[in-house]
Amino acid sequence: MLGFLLNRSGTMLLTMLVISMLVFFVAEVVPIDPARNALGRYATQQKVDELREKMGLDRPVIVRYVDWISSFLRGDFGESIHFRRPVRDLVAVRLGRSLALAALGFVFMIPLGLALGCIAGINEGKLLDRIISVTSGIFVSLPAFASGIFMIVIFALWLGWLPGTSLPDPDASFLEFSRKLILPILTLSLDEIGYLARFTRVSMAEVLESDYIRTAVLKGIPRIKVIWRHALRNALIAPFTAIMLHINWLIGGVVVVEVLFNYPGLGRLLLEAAMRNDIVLLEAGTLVLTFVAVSSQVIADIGIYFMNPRIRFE
Amino acid sequence: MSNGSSSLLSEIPPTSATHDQGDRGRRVRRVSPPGARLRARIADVVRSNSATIGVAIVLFWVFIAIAAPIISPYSPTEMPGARLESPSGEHWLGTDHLGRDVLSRVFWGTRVVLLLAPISVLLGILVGAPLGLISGYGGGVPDIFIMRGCDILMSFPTLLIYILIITSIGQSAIIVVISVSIGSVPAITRIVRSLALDERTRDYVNAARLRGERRWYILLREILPNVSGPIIVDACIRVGYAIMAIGSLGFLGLGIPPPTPDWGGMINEGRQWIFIMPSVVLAPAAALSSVVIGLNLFADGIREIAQQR
Repeated sequence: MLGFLLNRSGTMLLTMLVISMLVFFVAEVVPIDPARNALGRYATQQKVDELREKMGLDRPVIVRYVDWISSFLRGDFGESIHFRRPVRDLVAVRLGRSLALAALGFVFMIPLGLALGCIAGINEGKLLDRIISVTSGIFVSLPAFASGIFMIVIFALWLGWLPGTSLPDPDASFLEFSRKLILPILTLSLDEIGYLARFTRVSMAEVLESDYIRTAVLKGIPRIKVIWRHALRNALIAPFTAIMLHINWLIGGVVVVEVLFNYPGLGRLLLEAAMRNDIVLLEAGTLVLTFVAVSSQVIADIGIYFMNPRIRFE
Repeated sequence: MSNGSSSLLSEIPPTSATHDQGDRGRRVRRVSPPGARLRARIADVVRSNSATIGVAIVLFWVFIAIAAPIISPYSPTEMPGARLESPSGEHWLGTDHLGRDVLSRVFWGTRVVLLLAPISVLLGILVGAPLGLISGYGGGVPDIFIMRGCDILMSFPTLLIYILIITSIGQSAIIVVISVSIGSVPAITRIVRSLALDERTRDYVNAARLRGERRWYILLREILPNVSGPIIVDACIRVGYAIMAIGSLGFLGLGIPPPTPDWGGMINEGRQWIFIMPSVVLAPAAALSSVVIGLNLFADGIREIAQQR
């Protein structure tokens, strides 16, 4: 047990180390001079050189990496060139909003995906299964930006039920704000629901064919009880693993949804940083988001370890 | 050699059935009349509903891509109409914010997507398959390094890799293709590795080894042909992913630079006007979705066929 935990956290540290190097050195290739970028086109070369020196850009790459990562670990993320504000504050606010969006998405997608998948798996081969399978097949094929466009056109333009953007309005009531979040959450969840439903369906159908379920049925236990008490727990292990495996995919979805609905989260901030060549902000944001991804994968690993006795007692 | 320390999560295959191809389709240079096997495969595809529909959808778009210069009413970059015209007899899907014909741009955009996505998958396979073969067949230290590398790349959100690469190197079709293929390499490597791991203990591999064949010969001429089936099914799904990825990049404004008609880019440019002229964004979104649906249906069908055998 302890060995397992140590192993996972060791791997996580190694991963973060390598990723931080990748982020730093890839950003290093940028042909744009950050000092020139900050001062604008008309600054004299002398001014630019002075700023370069002040920013420490004239030192070797390795020194700068060590400097960057150690100040990062101390909680000093530097200052955004574009927003002219400390990166840490920017990233913290935006990350909170993105996590809220993702959490709401999770709350919506997991029960729905699992339920649909279970229903399809229990009724394998019947009409209901066909309908759910085809629908979830279509859901997984829709990239977030396309399904978001469809939803905006259907629910905001044609039906006029919901607003098509989610810029938070300080005067808006809680109800109004929640209404704004419905479409982004739907968009974010749609392909995950499809993905989860498909995974759960296969898993449930497999479990129902196993010997221990047949034994339970032959013992005369009612079908509903067999499914509820015996099949469900085992059938849900695989989909839970699958959700966690999809965290990186979900992060991509969050970025797209934030841009599409003008939701001011970390994803949109990163994209803005990329567009404005705000390297300090881009590096910090990428690192923070990757840290979220990696650590949630580790937490998931540990969760599955406890959920699945077959791994625990290996 | 064993990969016990790697993430528990990554032991679960991303698509449930690509891994367990079992003994189906294993072939040791069987002699059959020319074309017979191909015909049998086509008959299989026709018998599967989803595969047939999938192939039909994909072929439709392939036709559009090839015939784009003939069937497009206008050039994708000329501006024959007023800005944001409603759909009419002249412009079936209306015009965009620059007065370009949306239908023509959708047709021409097919070429971009159907060219770049397969190339990026091919590139991913060219890098990932050899790595997977070496890792799975050879084992040892290279295996550990390759697998750790994959773990690290996989724990990095793919979209962030794209954003990082494209902002640092620049925005062009080639960069888009390369970054999408980099994103797919770890998954392909893993799949090929697990396939190779399964093959290496087979008799025909042992026979080749005892014959004194060289390692690269065993890898390329013995193992590779036997694992190519699952790789192709996987590639089919992956082309769908690549189309989504290229579309997302276009949508985020990081894709192929304008004025090239790229579906994702069209959505990005047109979404400001979604409430005035929805057809400008609906058309490329629907086109892109239908291609991906077609590819996924085809892959599902192929998988069903493989399971029935």
